[in-house]
Amino acid sequence: MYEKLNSKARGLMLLSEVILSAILTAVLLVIWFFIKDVNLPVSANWIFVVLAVVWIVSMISPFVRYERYRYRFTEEEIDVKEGFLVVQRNVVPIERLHKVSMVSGPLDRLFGLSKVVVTTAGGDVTIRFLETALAEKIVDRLKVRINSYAIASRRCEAQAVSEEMKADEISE
Amino acid sequence: MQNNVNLKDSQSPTEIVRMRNHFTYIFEQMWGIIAVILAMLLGNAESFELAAKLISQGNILEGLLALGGTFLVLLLICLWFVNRWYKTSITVKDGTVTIERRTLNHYVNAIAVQNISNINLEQNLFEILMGTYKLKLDTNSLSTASTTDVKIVLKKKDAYMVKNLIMKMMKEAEQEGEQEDYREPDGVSRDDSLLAENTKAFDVDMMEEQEEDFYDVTYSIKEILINCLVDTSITLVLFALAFFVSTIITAVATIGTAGSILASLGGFLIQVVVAGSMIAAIIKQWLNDFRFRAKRYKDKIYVSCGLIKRRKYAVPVDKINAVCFQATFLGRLSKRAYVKVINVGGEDEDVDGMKILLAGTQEELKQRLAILLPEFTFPEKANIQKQPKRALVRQIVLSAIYQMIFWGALFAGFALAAYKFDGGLPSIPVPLIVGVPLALFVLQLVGKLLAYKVTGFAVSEEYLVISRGMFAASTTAIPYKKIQYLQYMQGPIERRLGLQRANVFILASAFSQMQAMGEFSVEDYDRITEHFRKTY
Repeated sequence: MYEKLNSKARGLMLLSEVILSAILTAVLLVIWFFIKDVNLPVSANWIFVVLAVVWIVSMISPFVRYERYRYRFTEEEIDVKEGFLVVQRNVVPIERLHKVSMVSGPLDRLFGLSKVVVTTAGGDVTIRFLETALAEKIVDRLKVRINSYAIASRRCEAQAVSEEMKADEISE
Repeated sequence: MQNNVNLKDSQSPTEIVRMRNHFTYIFEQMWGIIAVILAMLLGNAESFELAAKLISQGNILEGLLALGGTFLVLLLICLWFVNRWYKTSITVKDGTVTIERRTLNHYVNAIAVQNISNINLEQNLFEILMGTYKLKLDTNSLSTASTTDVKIVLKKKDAYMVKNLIMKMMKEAEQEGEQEDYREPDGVSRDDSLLAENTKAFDVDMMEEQEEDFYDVTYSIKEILINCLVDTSITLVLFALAFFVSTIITAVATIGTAGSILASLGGFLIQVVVAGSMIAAIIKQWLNDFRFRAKRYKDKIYVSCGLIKRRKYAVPVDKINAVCFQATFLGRLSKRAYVKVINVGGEDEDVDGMKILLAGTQEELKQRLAILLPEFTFPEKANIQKQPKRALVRQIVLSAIYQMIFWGALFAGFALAAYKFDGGLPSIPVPLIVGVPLALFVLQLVGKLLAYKVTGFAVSEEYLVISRGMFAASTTAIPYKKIQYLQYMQGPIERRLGLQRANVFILASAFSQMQAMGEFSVEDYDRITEHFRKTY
């Protein structure tokens, strides 16, 4: 059963988009200021059309992303779906995890949210916008699981070696 | 070099106190810099002539000064390298390989032998002449590989001895780890005789020295020549030819216009260097495959290859994360592919996998893989499922739309600029407006069709087989248990069409870590996920 994010996540997504759009607006306005009187084939005022598109997208995308975001932590795997236009889904077996960490930036902390970063031998997967208390719980649970898998896997290897040795002795 | 290797007991080495690289390593390190300085000297011909004249007259000091300090710089560089070599020591002791450099900045790098994944010996032409070997240690760690991988140049005898010592330590560490972690319920003990039995595997190099027919998989000269031909990248050859022809044209055009010879010399040299490096890359690949031999011994595949640069590498079978069948365009025409395995611990030339078999037909590969990797099930081409037709239609329609937007914007911008500044619409020839975009679209279409023909996947009990390419093609078999995680992607149009793309992540170098798959139905990918889930 997939879980939905807390509504605080939508606020964080919106704030991040507003900050990014504001930075882009400042950059484009500076460009516009310098080129507005230059004789160009296309009017410099087209920059305002670009800005309008940027702001419309940044106002819509947090709501779409929030609605699409789904995550699932089971005994065996982590399954996360997210995205605006292109939806990405990561299926990570807990057995393959090497490391788990919790990260929270200033904006995350403002909303009481955190990220959980799980590391496999093939790369990292980040589960964003989790409530800090929930993220801590998940990290603790994953740590226990990773340790138990590591011990079990070493035992299996040792068992395999022992069986191989026995087989060698019998064949001799 | 005396006292380079100081052993407590050279007959049964248990500990190396201290060792230095062979002194020839200094020349290997600094030949590039010497070449640059010599080029600078030759470039500054006037002062060189003056210096030669002064030296010949007996004014040696003035002569050296006339060289503008170049000689001093050369001397300082030599001293710097010698000092660096002298103060760098390598210690193999108590299960740790330590590299210590006590120059101005102290540097100590200790590597536990358990973290070493591969120990390889290789020789370049210089080392063959000097009778030395380069011992390369690759570490298991992916993130720290660049900082922990070690190269040591030693005399042949020392190189083999150090290699065997490290491998023995590795095995001992492995067994100690097992004993600490797990006690067998039936009290099976691992005594010294067992250790001796296991360490026999490390005498492979010695066995190779003694036995003529040590390798199971060997190639005749004819087979190697065929391999060289079919493994050559046709794109690289075409580019090299193009550069070669343009170099000749530039040379011919320059002759007769004496004034511009110097001006065009730079461009000419660049063309020569580019064409030369492309041809060198092709020849290097051919030479690398000469004397290619492989052997399966216990849990490793041993490969020896190369004519000028002799390489030897061992691939631990349990560290193989994928088996890849690679066919160039010529290889596909002649129905031949070579085999490489993806694992961690390769070198620069192995970023996308370590070669274990040269190009061969399907039957030849089957036979040879049965010797080298009997645990591997050969993927049958017939089982490979292609992408649905709607995936091809989507890709073609999308590329047509992108091209129309690109060319429309380009021509509109051009016309607008001409109208604004020249006061009239430009007269662009119609064949140009239609011909160029059409030709490029057709090229892209051919590319899409070729890729569609190759792209596919197969699901077997043990492996996920991914096939992809365009002119060249590759088929990669990844054991489900080696897949680290799966990533699916779906855009808005794909959602409507019920399609999805995926990336399969495995433990490998950054180049091969992500194995991309084509567009298949969501149900097909669900099938892959189910197989993957069975492994955890």
